[in-house]
Amino acid sequence: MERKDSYQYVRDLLIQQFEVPAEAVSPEALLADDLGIDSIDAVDMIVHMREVTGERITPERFKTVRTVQDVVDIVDREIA
Amino acid sequence: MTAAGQNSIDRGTGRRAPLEGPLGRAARLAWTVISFSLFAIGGLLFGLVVAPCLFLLVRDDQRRKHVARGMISWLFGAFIRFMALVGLTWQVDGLPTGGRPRHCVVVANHPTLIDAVFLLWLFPGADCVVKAAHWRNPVTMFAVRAAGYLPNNDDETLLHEAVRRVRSGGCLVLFPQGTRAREGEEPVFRRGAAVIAARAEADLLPVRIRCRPHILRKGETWFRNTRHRPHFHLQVLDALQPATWTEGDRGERGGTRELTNRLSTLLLKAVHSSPSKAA
Repeated sequence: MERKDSYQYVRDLLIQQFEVPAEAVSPEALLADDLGIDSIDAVDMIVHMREVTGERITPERFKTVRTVQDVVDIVDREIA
Repeated sequence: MTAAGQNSIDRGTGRRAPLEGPLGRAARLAWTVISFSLFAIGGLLFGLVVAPCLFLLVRDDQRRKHVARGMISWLFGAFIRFMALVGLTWQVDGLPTGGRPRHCVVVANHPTLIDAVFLLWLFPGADCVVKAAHWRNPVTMFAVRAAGYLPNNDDETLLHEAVRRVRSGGCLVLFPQGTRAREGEEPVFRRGAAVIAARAEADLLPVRIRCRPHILRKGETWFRNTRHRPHFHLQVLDALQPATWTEGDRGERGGTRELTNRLSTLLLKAVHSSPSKAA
């Protein structure tokens, strides 16, 4: 996966797997407050993301995540 | 109306009067100190004597957990009866009869420090999601290890392991609000309990816990002495089947959210007439 695709990937993941309305997704959107992603969703997101990034994403790293861009950054770092 | 297959146990409600007034309050304060000391001593003795014997004598992990959980349940029952001699009164309604419930998730609100003591006594052999700090507390560390309870340290491992254990027939006790609420705080239920039950295809068994007057809330000193003798009321409500919530368009995510809201209403808000009193 190309670096520039990371945002698209995270955006699609949110829309398709977590029923987030497309218009609500932006890099600055807050996962919990704006998109309704709760702690269980976060676990499920990690499981989905491992399909593209391999086994390296840990729940520890996800703890500091607040915005969509934070998730994109993790994907970027893992596939770089 | 008391539903078939359920029973009601009631202890000490008729003995309230003698322990009110200055003398009664003093007696209850003394009993609180004695009860807390007893719990601490019991936990340490379990660690020094019982747990080493268990680890030496019962080599099989599953068997040892089973024995340890049975002992904890028995000890907690004895402890509650001890506390109820002077310190508090209690009543339990709707407890399922006919053997230990299996393949289920017992969910309760969490008003006091001793809710888990009640639940692990009422559901012998149950598994329990326990605060990870208890693995480092000398009073509790040996019991939680011997019983193989589930530490709440990381969401992913917890979710995966909880589903596995319930799916294989376990009865898991957990508090969807995570920790006790402070006075004046509105507890918020997390979705995990409903998700665990849904993925393990198990029933949810809600238990509503009330304690009046309030004692042992978070941030409250354990020796706070109330004017009236505290009364614990535990109501085991009708089991909920997650499948009926997650089927159709709602899917697991929407269904478990609605189910969590329902649990929250049942356990935190709605007022139920006591099954025994309505009969």
